[in-house]
Amino acid sequence: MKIDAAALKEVDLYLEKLYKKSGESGDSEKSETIRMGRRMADIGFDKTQVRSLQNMTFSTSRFSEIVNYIKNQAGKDEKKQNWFRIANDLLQQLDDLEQEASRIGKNDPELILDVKLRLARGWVKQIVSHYLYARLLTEGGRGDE
Amino acid sequence: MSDIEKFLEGESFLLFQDKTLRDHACKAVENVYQEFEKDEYVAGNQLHSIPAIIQSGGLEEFRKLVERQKEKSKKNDKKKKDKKEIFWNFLFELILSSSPNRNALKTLIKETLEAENLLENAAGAEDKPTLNRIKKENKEKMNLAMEKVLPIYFEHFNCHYFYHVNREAPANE
Repeated sequence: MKIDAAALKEVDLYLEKLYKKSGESGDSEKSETIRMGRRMADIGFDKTQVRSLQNMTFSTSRFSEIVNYIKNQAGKDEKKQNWFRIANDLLQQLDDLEQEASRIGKNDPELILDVKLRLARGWVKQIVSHYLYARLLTEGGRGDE
Repeated sequence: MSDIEKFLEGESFLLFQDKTLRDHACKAVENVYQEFEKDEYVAGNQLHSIPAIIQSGGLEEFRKLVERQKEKSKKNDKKKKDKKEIFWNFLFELILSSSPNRNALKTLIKETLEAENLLENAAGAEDKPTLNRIKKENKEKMNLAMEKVLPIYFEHFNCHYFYHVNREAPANE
């Protein structure tokens, strides 16, 4: 793979920005990935569901497989209790990542494809971390660990 | 390896399948959503059968499936037959029809190959044998590209379709 140091730096900076993205108050807890992780915990996602998203994102060679996985899960969620409730936001965030990848990769298809996957993997890592942390706090609060 | 084969194996075509093709499939689903009545949507198992059909026999088997379904729709009772037929006709126009259509997948593929100078201009043919040769070669290239994109196109189409259908449906408690 031919990704260069400059592109790698841009990927890291974007992921850092995503992590620290603040609301008006400057509260880092308003980061999109933090909110998403929390929502997944609040909604009651199982660890296996969240890990499946992460594993798929890390194992795929196509960005659109991540998009399609989320749509597929949301399409199957007939009770509209979990995937369905967050699919739209997840897809919007993936769309933002894709646009960022096009900017970083300029007109180089190979670079764009690579950057898209790197951004998606960084993004999902943040979500999973916050999901696990939020879940731990909830479980700890209930005293049922 | 020919120019078309190189292109179909290249990174720019991967990006095309990953983004442009997905956008096209999603737009096609949005059209179903906007223009069709709810009872004109096909059953899930019919759509789920498409990837397996394509995997087993490519474009040709897909054509047979669509034509079979169109015929089958006609044999059902009067009210229902038209509804299902609408969907299979839609798929025929989207994927298989040779008539010029802005929204057809073939149009997108043709424009993409033309942009890469992979299709020869038939208008430049000096005689009929040359014209026939150009048409035949262009058709072969188009078929090659269609065979390549079809499985991924339906991955995009089906996922977006079921997502959309569920968005419209009431929660099934």
